[in-house]
Amino acid sequence: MTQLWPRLGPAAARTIYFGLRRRTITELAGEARPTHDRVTYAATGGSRVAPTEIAALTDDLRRAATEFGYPVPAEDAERIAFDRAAAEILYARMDLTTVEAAHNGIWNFLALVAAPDLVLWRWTGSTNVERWICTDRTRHMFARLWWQALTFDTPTGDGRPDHSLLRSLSESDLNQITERRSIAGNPRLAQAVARLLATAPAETRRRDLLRTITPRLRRRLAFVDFSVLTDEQLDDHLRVLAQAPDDHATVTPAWHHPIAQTFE
Amino acid sequence: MKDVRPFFVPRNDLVRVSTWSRLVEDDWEDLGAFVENWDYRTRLHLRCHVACDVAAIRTSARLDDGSPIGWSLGWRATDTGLLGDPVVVPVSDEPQTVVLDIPADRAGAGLMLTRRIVLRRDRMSATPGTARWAGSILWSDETPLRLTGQGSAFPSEAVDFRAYGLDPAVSWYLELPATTDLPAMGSMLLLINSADAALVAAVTRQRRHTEVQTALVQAMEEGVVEQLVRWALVRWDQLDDVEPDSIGAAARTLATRVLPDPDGWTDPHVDQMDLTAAIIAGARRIGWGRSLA
Amino acid sequence: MTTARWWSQPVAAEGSTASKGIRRQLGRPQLDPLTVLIRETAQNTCDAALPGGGDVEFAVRLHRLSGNKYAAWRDFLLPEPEGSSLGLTEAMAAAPLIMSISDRGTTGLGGPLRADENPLDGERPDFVNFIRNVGEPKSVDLGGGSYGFGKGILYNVSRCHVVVADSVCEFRGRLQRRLIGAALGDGYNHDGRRFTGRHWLGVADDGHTRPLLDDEATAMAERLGMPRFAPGATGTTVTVVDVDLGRRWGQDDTAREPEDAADYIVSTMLWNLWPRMLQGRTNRLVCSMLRDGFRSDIPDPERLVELQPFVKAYRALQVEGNYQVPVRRTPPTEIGRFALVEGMAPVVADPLLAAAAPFTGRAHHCARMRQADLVVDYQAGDAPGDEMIQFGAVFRASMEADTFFAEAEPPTHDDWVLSGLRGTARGVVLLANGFVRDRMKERRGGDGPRPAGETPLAALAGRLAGLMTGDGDLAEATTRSGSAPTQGRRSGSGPRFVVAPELVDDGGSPVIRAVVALPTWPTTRTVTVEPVVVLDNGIEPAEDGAGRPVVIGWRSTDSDRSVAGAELLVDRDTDRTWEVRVRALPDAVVRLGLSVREIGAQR
Repeated sequence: MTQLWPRLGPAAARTIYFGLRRRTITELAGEARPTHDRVTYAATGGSRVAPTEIAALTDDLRRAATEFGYPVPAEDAERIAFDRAAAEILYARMDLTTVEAAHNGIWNFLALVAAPDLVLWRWTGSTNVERWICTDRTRHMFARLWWQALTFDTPTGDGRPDHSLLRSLSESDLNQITERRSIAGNPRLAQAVARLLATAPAETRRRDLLRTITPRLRRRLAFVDFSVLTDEQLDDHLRVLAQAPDDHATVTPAWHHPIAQTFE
Repeated sequence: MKDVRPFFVPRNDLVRVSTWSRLVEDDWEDLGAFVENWDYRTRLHLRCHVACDVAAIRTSARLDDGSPIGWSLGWRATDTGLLGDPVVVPVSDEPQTVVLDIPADRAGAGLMLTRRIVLRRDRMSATPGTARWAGSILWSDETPLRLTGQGSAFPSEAVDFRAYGLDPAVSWYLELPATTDLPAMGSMLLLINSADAALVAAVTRQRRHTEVQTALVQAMEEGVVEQLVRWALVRWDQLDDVEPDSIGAAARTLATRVLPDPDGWTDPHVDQMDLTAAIIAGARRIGWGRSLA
Repeated sequence: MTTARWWSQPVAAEGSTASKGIRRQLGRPQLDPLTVLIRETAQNTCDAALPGGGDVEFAVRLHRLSGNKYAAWRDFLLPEPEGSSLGLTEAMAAAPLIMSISDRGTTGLGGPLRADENPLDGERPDFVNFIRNVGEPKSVDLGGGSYGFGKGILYNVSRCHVVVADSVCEFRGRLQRRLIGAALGDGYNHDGRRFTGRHWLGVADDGHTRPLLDDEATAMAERLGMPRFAPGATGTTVTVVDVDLGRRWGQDDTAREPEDAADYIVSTMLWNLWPRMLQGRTNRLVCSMLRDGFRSDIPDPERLVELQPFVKAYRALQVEGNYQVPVRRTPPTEIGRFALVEGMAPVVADPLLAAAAPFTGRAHHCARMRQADLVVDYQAGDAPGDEMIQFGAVFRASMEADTFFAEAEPPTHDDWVLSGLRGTARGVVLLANGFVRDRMKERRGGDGPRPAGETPLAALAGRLAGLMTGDGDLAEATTRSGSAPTQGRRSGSGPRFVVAPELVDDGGSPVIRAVVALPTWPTTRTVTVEPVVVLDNGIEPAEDGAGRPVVIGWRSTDSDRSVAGAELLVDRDTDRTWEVRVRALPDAVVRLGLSVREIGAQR
């Protein structure tokens, strides 16, 4: 059953955001609420999510955060580990269509009303308002996590999603894959990229690998419809991309013709 | 400006495609630039006819080696970039009808419907200027389609009244807030009793209602207008200065459209039957509810 | 010793309010008379609290007269006013029950003694208001009892409609003790004169009845067994003579025994006064109940399972973010605060609280109150689906909106009624009532998701959309299908492709070919072909990418003249149509652009 989540428009979001500044994590935890007067919902198409369900989500998220140090400011590694856990929780607890999930308002509501304490804890030291007010779903505290789960979750036989691919990715892997809409927009392609990265032994090697294949892949995306490829074909294609010599795009010998020949 | 792919592509006149059409109730209707009243529960069932001259395509694309080529009909969301799973069928000289279902959970605010002829397998011995990689797009066209926009919609939901705690003998219930300044889209909800099968059938039908269905919908419309107007009248002096998108503004606007002189009806001691009559008559004049004409 | 005598008020030539009417000004409340009595007197006590925020004592004593005290009361009260039919004689014939309600830490009944004397600046006419005037607006800011009708209850619970007030107040620079009896009986005729039914028991003085004062009052109070005053203390004791304890509430409807009444009073104190009884608040009300020498234990409301959610909700009103405020944009913008707290329902009802409980079963109510912090009523909401769960909510009117709610209260202060309200007051009370109702309705459907189906209602939503907008038309807003202008399209004055770029076979190898038409320019210019690599989303920056498309050159279709490279110099005499060739890349989409640069004036 599709859920309709409360939406908080940009004007109300800004007002609340400015009201939240200079608060501590504990203060924000005390002010977190599953409802707000200024919210709206999609008119139809689902069931308005009950405040208790929202509270259950934020409770789960806080419980997960506690494992990584919340409410005490945590190291980067812990915060990133929280991201992975939170992505799974968000994706499991929020039954969203992609159109609903693309609506900035629902993420504004979560960050500013339902769990501002988690945003402040996760992004301690950051002044980036995009973590709170959603303008780009690859940057917002919660939107990015839900969409990461959508992109990398693979279905399993028993109907429960398998999150192992997402867990295998480093923060930099994730950012590089998801910031390309044309790659992340095709989850099977993004997953193939993740599978390829998993074959690389070390973090530095993975970064090099991504640096190699991303520009090549972007050229291919202009004339190849990757959505018709099977997973095996995707894996093969990426492997070829990764193995091609650095000057893969230069003129191959068979294509080589001097100018003089062309214009004689 | 035309972009040049790194391989030869077939001439356009070798491919013939119809416009898209959409199944509405039991009829196929031409698909316009937008789908009216789309929501997450709308089944978007599309089809089109495609035909091509396979031999000529192979010749002009220089794919004479029997490499498999096929139609790929799919979509991508223009807002999120998310791709839908395409329908893939082999190319054929015979005209084919291809049906595409767009599940609401993977749609976008706007869609680009894509029709492509693609290479299905890698060609390891591709000669220069011929398609080499599986998925290579030999031909394509795109049709934009908007699903959501700025248009308003009245918040509605069908629920089981018994389970919900409303009287199960009632067909509908309009939830309205105490506060005038809340956003209309967040504070108001028309609940339809899912146990009223006749009303549910009437309100979910898009075209060609029966007389009984029309009567049911019109009766509910009149009731909804009456409740909104009465809600406004009770708080009339607070509605002078309400937020633009608030429930108060919406109800006030409706009351002024329905009643020529809303101020005259704000006294709590007005005759209730007279008020009902004035509201229903006013509603009918502006097109809600039954028409006796 | 000064003797007190009854004085009966004759009807004035111009008419007087009949005292029966005053007694009835309370209407016929739904509440038990003992509850009305406690609420009313506690409210008076709270209104009279001394400045400084110290604790306020509120003590109820119930006992049957006997011995010397009984005799002293008989001597004091009898004989009853002639012809009055108060029933005082019968009441005093057998030892009657009396109830005294006393407060300390309060101002006492100060101000002038006579109703026709103006109070001095800053002086509050409490004595006159309490003893003489009925129905006059009080002058206490944000007081609980906006009008003094409520004191009628004191006379109502006396079978003979007689009360005795004993008060120490500060009056014009010194403490003064005042003791006076008052009766509010029915109107009657006596000796050919019409009397109002109001009587005062005191000392005749200059045509009116004054209270016993200071030493004479103290002596009488001692004889009557009135609660004492500590040195320097102020406060008031009101004693109800021959008190009617009413009937057992919701039980067998038999007359209440004093023991039942004491239990009931403790219960009703807790339900109605708990916000004033909380630890740590200013002017905390310290309640006590004494029956024939037995002291009832009055627990801390915070420790009672039944009251806990209400107390927590009340405390939440003081914590930013823990309460809700109904949205209102015109003043008063904050009409009050609301909070709701859930808790486990009590397994077994506490008999202490059950005696005067305003509802049965577990709590699903909102305690509504004004700034005075006395519970107006408990508004019922929908009970939570889970039988183990109860909730308590509190709505408390804001300071700026308090008077609007006061206007909505009946004399018993036990409801907010819309009828009779207009303008802002009506709007404020309507909003509060609806807001509280809605908040408690939201709990409907229990904790889980809504029992909704998958019914597609978009068509209905679209159909009804016109109810929400001015124009009643959904149509075009959703239809804007933006077809972006094609990138690179030039106006007529630039070079343009007459044959679009395409892949052609050039001696067995593929090249990109296009044909460009040049306009006639007045100056010499260069036209440059700029091939770029098209990516998934945009074009590849020139510095990126391993292989770049290379321009082979230009060839005139008019003269077969060739120019190698990307750049073509164009003057007046140059051919106007040129073919351009670009080497294709094996795995990239290439887009050709044309740029024009002016070299100089035409020769």
